[in-house]
Amino acid sequence: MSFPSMQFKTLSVLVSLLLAGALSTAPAMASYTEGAVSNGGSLKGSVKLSGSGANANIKVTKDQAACGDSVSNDTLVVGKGNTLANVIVEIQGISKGKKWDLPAKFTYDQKKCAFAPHVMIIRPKAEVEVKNSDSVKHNVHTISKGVFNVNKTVAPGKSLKVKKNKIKKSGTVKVVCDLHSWMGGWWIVAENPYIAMTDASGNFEIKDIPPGKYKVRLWQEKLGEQIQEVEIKGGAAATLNASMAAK
Amino acid sequence: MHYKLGNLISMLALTALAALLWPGQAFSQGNRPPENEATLAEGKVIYFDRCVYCHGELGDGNGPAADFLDPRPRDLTMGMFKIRTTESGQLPRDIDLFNAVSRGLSGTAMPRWELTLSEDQRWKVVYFIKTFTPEFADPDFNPENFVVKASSPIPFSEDSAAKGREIFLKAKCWECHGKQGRGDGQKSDTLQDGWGFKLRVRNLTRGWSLKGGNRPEDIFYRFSTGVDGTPMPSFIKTLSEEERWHLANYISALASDKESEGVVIKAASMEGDLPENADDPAWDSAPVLKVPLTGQVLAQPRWQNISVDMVEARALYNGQDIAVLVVWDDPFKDTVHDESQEIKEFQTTYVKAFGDIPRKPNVFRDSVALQFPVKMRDGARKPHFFRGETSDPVNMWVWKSDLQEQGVNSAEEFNAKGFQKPLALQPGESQQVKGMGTWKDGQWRVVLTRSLKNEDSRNDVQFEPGRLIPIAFNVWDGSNGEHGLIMSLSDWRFIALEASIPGSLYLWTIVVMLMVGLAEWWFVRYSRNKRKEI
Ligand SMILES: [Cu+2]
Repeated sequence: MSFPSMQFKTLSVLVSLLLAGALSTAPAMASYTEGAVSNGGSLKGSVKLSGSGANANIKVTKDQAACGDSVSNDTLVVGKGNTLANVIVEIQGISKGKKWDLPAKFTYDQKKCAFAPHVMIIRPKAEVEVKNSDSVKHNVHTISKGVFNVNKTVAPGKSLKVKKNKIKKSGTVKVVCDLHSWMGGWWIVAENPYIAMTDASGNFEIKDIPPGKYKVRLWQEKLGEQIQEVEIKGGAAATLNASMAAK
Repeated sequence: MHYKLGNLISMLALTALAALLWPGQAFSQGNRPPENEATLAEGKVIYFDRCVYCHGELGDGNGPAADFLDPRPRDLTMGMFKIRTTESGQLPRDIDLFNAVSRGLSGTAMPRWELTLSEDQRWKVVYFIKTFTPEFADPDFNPENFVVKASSPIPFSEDSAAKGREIFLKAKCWECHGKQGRGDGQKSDTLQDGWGFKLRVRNLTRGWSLKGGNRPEDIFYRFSTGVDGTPMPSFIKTLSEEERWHLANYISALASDKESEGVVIKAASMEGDLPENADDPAWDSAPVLKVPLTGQVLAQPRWQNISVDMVEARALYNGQDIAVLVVWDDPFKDTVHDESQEIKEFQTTYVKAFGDIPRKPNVFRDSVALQFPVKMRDGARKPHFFRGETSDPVNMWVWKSDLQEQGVNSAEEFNAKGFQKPLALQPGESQQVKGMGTWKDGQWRVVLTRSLKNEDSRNDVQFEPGRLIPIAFNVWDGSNGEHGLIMSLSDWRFIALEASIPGSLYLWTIVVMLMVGLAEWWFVRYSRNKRKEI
């Protein structure tokens, strides 16, 4: 084998240098410090869908005795007046502020062959218990960019426990069951406590925000993300009404 | 910056070939170098020499060859590794990484580096690979705490394998892997890996394509640890260790070898009518020859992500006719063919794994072709195994699933004079081959029948006892996007009518086996040289 050639040697050196540069700029996990917030402001508003996107229920193709004949399709939940539920709203880049108001322990359920809740905000290092409340086996399969990945079967009535500190960084985790192809859910691991999810009427509110100008990221699983800019003034309520385009 | 893709792919092909030809080596942990800055730096050099083309400069699996490979090269930055002895979601032990690098991942482009790198080099590259995942450097990280217990292996026995079969059914392994383990359990092709790429369920009967190895202890770990980044879960919470050993014994017994001995299909003679049906018990009397197939990489469009990498062939004949039975595994039965979706023009020399062709069910037909030389002669001279040559044409019997679905004769006869020209369909009166295929549990069984001899010796192969007649195979899996020259193919094998084969002919088979070896070598050389011109 005449491989590798000199050409590749040169290339390797070059590439090594590039890599060294890339690694040194790799993002470290953003850390968040809790403290008192004086004269904080708030942000509230609502998110709507522009365009239409009604979802038909999904027909269940197996294990109907446990799952029922159909399950609701929660990948796009549209309310009256085209409001959007389950949209994540997060204020980015706050490294110091209010205490975490999310618990340290979460329960995620599999019931009637659907994940409940469909989207769940959690905090890094949190414990999660994934239950199987059904009479059939599920596999809990998480897919993420290095946030937390597991794929284990869970017997009826049993649960999978994700121990403290296993979820190390913030990011998005998709949860699926490969045994029931329609099953899908999301864990949003927050970077800071300034995060909310729109309710059934598409409304959200975030409190105790240190005054300043921020980028706000809106995310919905099917519609993708959107970045908005807001200014929070001390003791005042800012409003953010956004619309996300149907795809 | 430019890479020579051709070089790279032929390097992969060479490594794969080496894996076929060289016996396995045992390796020990005895000579493990220390893990320090110096060895890490050496590992980095090796990585950029050998691994970067697939796994990329950043270790994210986006090297220049990545688009051409299915499964895609692993993203080493995610801390997700398929082949481990640790629990699902846990990082592997160093020895797991070392073993994966050494043994390669069967059924993927990841070669057996034990053939080309020393033990010392393999350890060093493992040290470097670990730098892509920061968690390896965590002082609290100790994978030994998460090793799946394999404390009481159960030796293989029929009884254990039978218990394993029960567990295979109870744990619903068949929902993905199929009732017979042929990877045909899913009715649609919706499974995806963690990166959103379509994923094929492994065919458990093809022992050579099980990524983590096919010994019971390898298989035990696969469903105990799960295969991270794929839908294959860990069964550690739902099956006991004992149950998992029985299951491992069952799966290991399913796995067969890719090649059988010899290169000759010995057609068995029989009295009375030849079986028209592939399930006829008469076939049991005919010996089976397994024929390995490779992707068609000799001419554009080159394709290496084939789904059919082996066919089993056997033949029966009587005073008048000969029937050849070809059996191959294919998880989806495709019986339509949409010509408008065929790809006529290619910009790249290789077909990309995803995006270039529709790899989904119900677009293209499943099909098989038998190829014979037209000119009969003694000795080793044969036309080119890839559709013959202008001066040395081949006769092709092509079975098409869509024709059968339409209720017409499913076999067509063609002639070819090299791959550059389209196949020439013989006129109606010359169409004499009869075809009959059946698909069940992820397997096609196709019978092609014709008279031993006919009037058309200028275009058709003629069978007579005492001759070794060259035969080669082309297979298309429609749901894998295969059509035209995007297919898998074999080089020459032989078919011989069993009665009165003179001893001298067997001498020929020895010569011929050497020739096959030579042809494989040439095959690689040829495709390599070809690509240098590009
Ligand atoms: Cu499920």
